[in-house]
Amino acid sequence: MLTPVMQITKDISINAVSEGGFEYLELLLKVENGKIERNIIDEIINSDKEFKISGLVIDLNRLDGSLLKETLSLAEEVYAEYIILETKGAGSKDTLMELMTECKNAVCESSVNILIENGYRKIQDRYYHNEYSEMKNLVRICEELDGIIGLNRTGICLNTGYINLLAMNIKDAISMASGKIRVMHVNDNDGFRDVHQIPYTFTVGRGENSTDWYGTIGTMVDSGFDGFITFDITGVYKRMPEPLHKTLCEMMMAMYHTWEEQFRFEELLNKPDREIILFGAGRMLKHYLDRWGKKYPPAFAVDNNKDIWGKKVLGVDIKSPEDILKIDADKRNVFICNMNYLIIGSQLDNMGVEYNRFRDTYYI
Amino acid sequence: MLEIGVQTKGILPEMDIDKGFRKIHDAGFTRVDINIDCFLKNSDLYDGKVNPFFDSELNEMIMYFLQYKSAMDKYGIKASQMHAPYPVRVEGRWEQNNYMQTVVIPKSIVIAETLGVPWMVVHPFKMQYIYGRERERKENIEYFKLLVPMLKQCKVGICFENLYESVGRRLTEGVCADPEDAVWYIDTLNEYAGEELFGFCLDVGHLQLVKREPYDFIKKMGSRLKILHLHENDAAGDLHQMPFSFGDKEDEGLDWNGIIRGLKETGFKGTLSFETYPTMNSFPMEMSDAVLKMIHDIGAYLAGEIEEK
Repeated sequence: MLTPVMQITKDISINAVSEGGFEYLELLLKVENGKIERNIIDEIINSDKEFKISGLVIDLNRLDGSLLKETLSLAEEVYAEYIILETKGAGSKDTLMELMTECKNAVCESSVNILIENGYRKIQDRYYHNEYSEMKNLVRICEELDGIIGLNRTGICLNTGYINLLAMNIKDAISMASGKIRVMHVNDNDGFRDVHQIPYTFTVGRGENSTDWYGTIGTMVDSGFDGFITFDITGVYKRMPEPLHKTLCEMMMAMYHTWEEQFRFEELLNKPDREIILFGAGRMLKHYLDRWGKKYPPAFAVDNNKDIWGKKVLGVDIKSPEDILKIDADKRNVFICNMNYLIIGSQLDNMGVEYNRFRDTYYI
Repeated sequence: MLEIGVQTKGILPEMDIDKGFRKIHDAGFTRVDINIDCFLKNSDLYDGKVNPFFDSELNEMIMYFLQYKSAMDKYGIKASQMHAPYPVRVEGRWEQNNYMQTVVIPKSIVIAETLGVPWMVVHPFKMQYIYGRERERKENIEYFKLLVPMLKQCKVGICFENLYESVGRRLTEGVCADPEDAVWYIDTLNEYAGEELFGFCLDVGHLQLVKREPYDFIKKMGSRLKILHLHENDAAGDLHQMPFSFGDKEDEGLDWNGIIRGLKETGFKGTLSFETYPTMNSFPMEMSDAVLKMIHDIGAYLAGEIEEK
């Protein structure tokens, strides 16, 4: 089930996260002197907030057999569904295979899934691929690990920021790992530094996104992703003063809900007792028809351009917006198919018509 | 108490006027920066395209903007500032320049009076890279002196803004980027006017681009600093993004602590006004309320820090 999660470090108050609307937390574990620091875990367990811990994240470079077993045990203690192995700076995958062989019994006895996060290698200020950067490698690693364990217990955590740093094709990466991605770690950067900042804030010109967030989410939707969306924005916690963290979390929750609309869009269309009516006879109509036309054909479309009333565009009858009102409210399902959403939305509000919006930006 | 404001660009005139001001009000803002420059865009002016908006009769324009006033009154919002169309001078476009300087700016002053705007940003001529600072100063002073009688009559002040110029793929300092330049302009014109009709608008994002220290700049401006354009960027492009959204350490990005300290020490009593339309543009439209609230709360945080005893 699609679930929003906030990744937690000591730099953000769990009260702010709770007040910001998050129920699920993911904990970034710190290892000191070969032991996992429990401070943050105990703070959450002892908190009066009703948190759930979706998973734990630990650096593969720090892991040996005993620490892996301790991490699994800790995950069981807090009812976490998964542990994520961070692979930044990680060496050969053979080390991971040996570790898994050593801990096979513990992994089998546990109910916790083991997810491998895509990583990178950093030499001074330069970022390079490592054995865990490419999705085709991660898929093979997961298959090999499942072979060792003898169970289907592994998966992938896709970190959007690391894909960006290595100038990788994120849509291709998602498609290649489709079916194995269990967690998305969402964060953004400028392509030069691993800063774990807020998605959408890296731009050119007057707000044009540098990172293709619409394409990323659209491809995740098409891949059938139905897991955890974790806001891995630890860089922002350090940059933004603590009194603003609650509003920050509220904004991230609003971002999640915006994305969730795309994952759930078909539910809005799938109302067999209602006629689908599209507002807009331009380019976006074509994109709707390309994507949904076969499964959810519109009864007709409307447009403010009276020159095309009574005609067909792309095989769809075009009528006046007033014709929407000829269909009973409980028999119509209206979608704005036009980039002038605010203006058309106002027009429909004034007509007393409820509507949703088709957003082609996620799919073109 | 310091008020928090936001620019209307990106909200108006795209939205219905009442809905637009309600959206601004609901996010917590009590002040707005009226972007009258939306009606004659800079990109069009650089291309030599002038639409007829400012050809309208003045009383028609006043009637239109009285709708803004009415909505602002309804939601308890005041205009702390306005941004006039720009650029007022484009090299080689002399007819257009004359139109901007003799029609657009004067009409903008009257609109400012209608809306009760105390300070209007008018970009001074950017000429120093081609012609040198001396000629740039001469031509700017000559033009802005002409506006003095109208400013006195309408009881509107003009604020100069620190600007940059684009040279190749680099940005260089433009008019008023040097604080001493800005001080000279304002003091010269106020002395001529015999009263304080000119002030300064500090754009902190532009400061970041030309590597000027915020605390130092604010201290030098002192009481000449009347209004602000608050935003942040990556120190390479004028991105007008949300504060704190670059870097991953407290001491990275724009020096907000220096800005806070400077405004506190100079006794700034104006509005913390955000020029963050591209921020609104970069997030999905469905998030606009949450983004506006984040921007407002950043302003409230800064206000608290400035006013803290």
